[in-house]
Amino acid sequence: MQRQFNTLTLALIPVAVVINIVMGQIVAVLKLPLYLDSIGTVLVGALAGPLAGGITGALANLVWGVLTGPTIIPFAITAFVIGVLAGWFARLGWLRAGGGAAGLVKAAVAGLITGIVAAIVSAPIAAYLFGGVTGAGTDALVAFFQSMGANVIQATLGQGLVSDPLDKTITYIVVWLILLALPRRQVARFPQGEQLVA
Amino acid sequence: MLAALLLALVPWGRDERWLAVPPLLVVAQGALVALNGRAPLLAWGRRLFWLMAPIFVSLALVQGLFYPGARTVIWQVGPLSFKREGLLFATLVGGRLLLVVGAFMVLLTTTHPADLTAALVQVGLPPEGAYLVLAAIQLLPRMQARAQAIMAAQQARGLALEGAPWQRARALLPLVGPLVLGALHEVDERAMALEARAFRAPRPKTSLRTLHDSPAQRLGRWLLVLASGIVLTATRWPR
Amino acid sequence: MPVRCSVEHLTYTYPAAPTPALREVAFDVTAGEVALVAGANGAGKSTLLAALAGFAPHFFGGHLEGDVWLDAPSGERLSMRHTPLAEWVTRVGLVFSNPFNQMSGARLTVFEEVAFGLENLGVPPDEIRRRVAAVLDQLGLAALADRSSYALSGGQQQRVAIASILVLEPELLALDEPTAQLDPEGTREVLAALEALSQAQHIVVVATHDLEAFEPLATHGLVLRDGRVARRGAFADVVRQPGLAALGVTPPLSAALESGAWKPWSATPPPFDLTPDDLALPTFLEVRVENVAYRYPEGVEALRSVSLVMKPGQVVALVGRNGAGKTTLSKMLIGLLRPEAGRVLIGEHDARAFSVARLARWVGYVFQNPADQIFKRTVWDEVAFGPRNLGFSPERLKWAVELALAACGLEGLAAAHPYELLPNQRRWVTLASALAMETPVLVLDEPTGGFDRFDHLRLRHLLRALRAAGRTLLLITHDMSLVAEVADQVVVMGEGRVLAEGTPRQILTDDELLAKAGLEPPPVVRVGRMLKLPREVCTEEELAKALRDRNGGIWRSGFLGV
Repeated sequence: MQRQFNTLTLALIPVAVVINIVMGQIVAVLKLPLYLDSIGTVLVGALAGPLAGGITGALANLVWGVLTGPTIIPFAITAFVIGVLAGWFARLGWLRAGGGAAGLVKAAVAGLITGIVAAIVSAPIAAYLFGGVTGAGTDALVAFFQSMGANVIQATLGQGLVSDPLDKTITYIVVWLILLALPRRQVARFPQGEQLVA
Repeated sequence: MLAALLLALVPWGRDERWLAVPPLLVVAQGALVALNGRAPLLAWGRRLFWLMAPIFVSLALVQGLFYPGARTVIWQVGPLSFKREGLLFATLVGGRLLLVVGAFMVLLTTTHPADLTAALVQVGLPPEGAYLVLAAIQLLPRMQARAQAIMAAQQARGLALEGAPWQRARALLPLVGPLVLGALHEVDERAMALEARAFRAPRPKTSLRTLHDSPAQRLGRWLLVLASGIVLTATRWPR
Repeated sequence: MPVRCSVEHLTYTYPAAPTPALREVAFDVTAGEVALVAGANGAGKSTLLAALAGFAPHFFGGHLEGDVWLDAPSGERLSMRHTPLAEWVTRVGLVFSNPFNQMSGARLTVFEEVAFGLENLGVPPDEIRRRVAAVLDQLGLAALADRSSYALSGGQQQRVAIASILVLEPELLALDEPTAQLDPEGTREVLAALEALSQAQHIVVVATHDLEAFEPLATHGLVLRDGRVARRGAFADVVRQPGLAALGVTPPLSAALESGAWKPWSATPPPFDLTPDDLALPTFLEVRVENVAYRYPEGVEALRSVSLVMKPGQVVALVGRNGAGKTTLSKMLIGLLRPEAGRVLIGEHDARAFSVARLARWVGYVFQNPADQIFKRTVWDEVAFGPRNLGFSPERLKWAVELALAACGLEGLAAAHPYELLPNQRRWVTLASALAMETPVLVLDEPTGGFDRFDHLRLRHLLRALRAAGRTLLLITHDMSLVAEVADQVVVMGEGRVLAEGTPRQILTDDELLAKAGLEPPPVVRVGRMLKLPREVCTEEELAKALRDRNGGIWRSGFLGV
């Protein structure tokens, strides 16, 4: 870590971690059926690369776990993967700000793929560690899939595949819109900035 | 620091004979917290309860009612039939979870994050890592206040936060936008503040916070690792 | 040989910028001197300080010509260009205006925060403890050593920021508008701290708009215009030279009077071409606050039975310490907080019965922090956001936005990105955003942060024009000169109550009351007393008239000293 990140990236990560956490507050006020708690992660992945993105995601779960309760800490693995994917998608140019509707669709597809991967990574964690439940409303979905004959891990995966892809698609769209709204000069100062300005 | 070691106290027993173990060990954890006084014990207990209660209820309902392949009904409430296999699975997972979470909470209620990160730096975590954790924790209240201020400011510009789902979704960008743009704008100054204090100076750092690691603590840690190993072997060995 | 800093032919261009931000800047400062850097916003003050401290170019990148040289006590002559930033920061320390952003986040208590830099330099712990304790003592922070650096007032936090830099024992301390975000008490604390420093033989360079406040400390002055040095010399000489006003600089009032070229601000014509008719609206609303009480959920009693009437065509100024309840009260007008007892009437409507978004049709609100609302890609879209929410027709929208942009001096910047503007211009964007909503009532919460002379004058003209147009205006501010020049009524708040109410003259000449509320009389009142004018003066126009009456229209250089 010593030399891997420049100071700007280093200062960016904790800010993004907190953005992830605070998003929960905003989504709650708007009563939206989403988490959007990886906006900071995807943003850092896009601006500063896969490793920085992954660290942001993992750290957000760790910090939130320290502050509220450790049950979300195991999902730091998922959050790490989300950040890394965001970094890769940005490198591929899928998060390039601009390009009108085509740009938007590209970002949305990247989000969709990320969401599917996130669901696949989360399922075994949720199944083995938590018996498939989280204590929230989405547990009803797990019950539903199990009653249809799925085993615990299949049911957890089913639950994840219903909620994660939508959430991550919207997350990526929001991040894409934010990248679009950022001044170019500011974006260009980050390590991956060049890949983001059209 | 000692508290961290409790994490090793996780038995991975797989059958009914081990059901009684987690509650006993959680009581032991409680006793450990109580060494630090009554208030931490209450805080630990309260947080543990509120964190675990919804998960337990959910586990009992989802797995008690819908555990795949379960047949032995032990309790019938109207159309709902709780089955033995499901409840057993729920209890096993729940007990295991309670232990792990309880141990983490022991760590969190007895050890300040600053001490924890300082200890981790002493055993080799780069100072940058410690910075990331502490800075995030300390930034949170300010960012929460900013989220409130943003909601106030945008409502004062006529943005409705209530109404149809579509309308509420449209309010997302005017709220997230200032939060992220403003935060990114501040990143420059925050990075400069780090540079101004020679954070990236390429030489060995010193630390004011030094933690004492006594031989007794080291011995305790090894004993716990040993104990976990025994438990693991005992439960997994062919029977 | 004394420690000396020489800036030689410094020309600096930010990355991708078309023109240099600094051109051929040259000057010297020696230990024990305090140099003030003044100039309009955008003249290059912050860039100059960033270059002194090595951040330009070592942090920002960009292109540098010339150099900053430091003659160290050891006799070495050090070049900024050839010294790595992590080394240079132990020679030249930089403090900026936002206290919060300067807390590293890496440490918890004040003591640890100040120690952080020394830890990074690998100083042994015993020496760290000794040096930190000494610096905390020097800046009057010893009692706060174990507090969290995040649980402090702005003034305290800014002093911690200064201590954190000072502990590295730099030869030169560069402070970029160190008091711009502080209330009068915080400003006094920081000034006292800086006084102690200059006596300790540091070189101190301060960029500021508030020459009045720094006058007692300053030995040298440097005025920039478009990145070039426009004036340079002993502070007392520089501020007595004519033509500073045209450089966007307000010299200390007494010095300006002595220069013989002083004119009241209102003698300068408004920088916009708008008549009260342009700004008039079909509706006029009176606001009544009746016996309002409020307690925050945490139990803090913020307001206890406050009453207040605001009439159309009047500016009511709300003044007092931070935490006195000013912002709490103003948030009631737009429904962001609901009174626990009493009521707030906007016209004949009880504010309680309407959502915030609905009240926004009647009450415009300019918040303190522009970053809390800006999110669009162009200034035009940003300003149009509010009116669009209110459902303005396209023609009305265009008219309202363009009028607001003109009033706020943003005509030429409609297509610019708000975050590529200067901080003071972003503040104008928020003002324009509220103006464009065409509300009969307008609340402005601390609108002057980071303003230069041009901004101050524009705001005064604008507020007077809005008043003449019959708007109902509430102004929350620590700037007593602004209060004197534009307010009709002043309400002094303290601990959730109205301490006093009256005309600016009644309030601003009552020393006992001002002290009780943590405020200071404006320079005009102080200078008027110094001159022993027959009648207390409050505004610059009154001062000009009194001086004309006394001197037959002439005031000579040096007459203040007699």
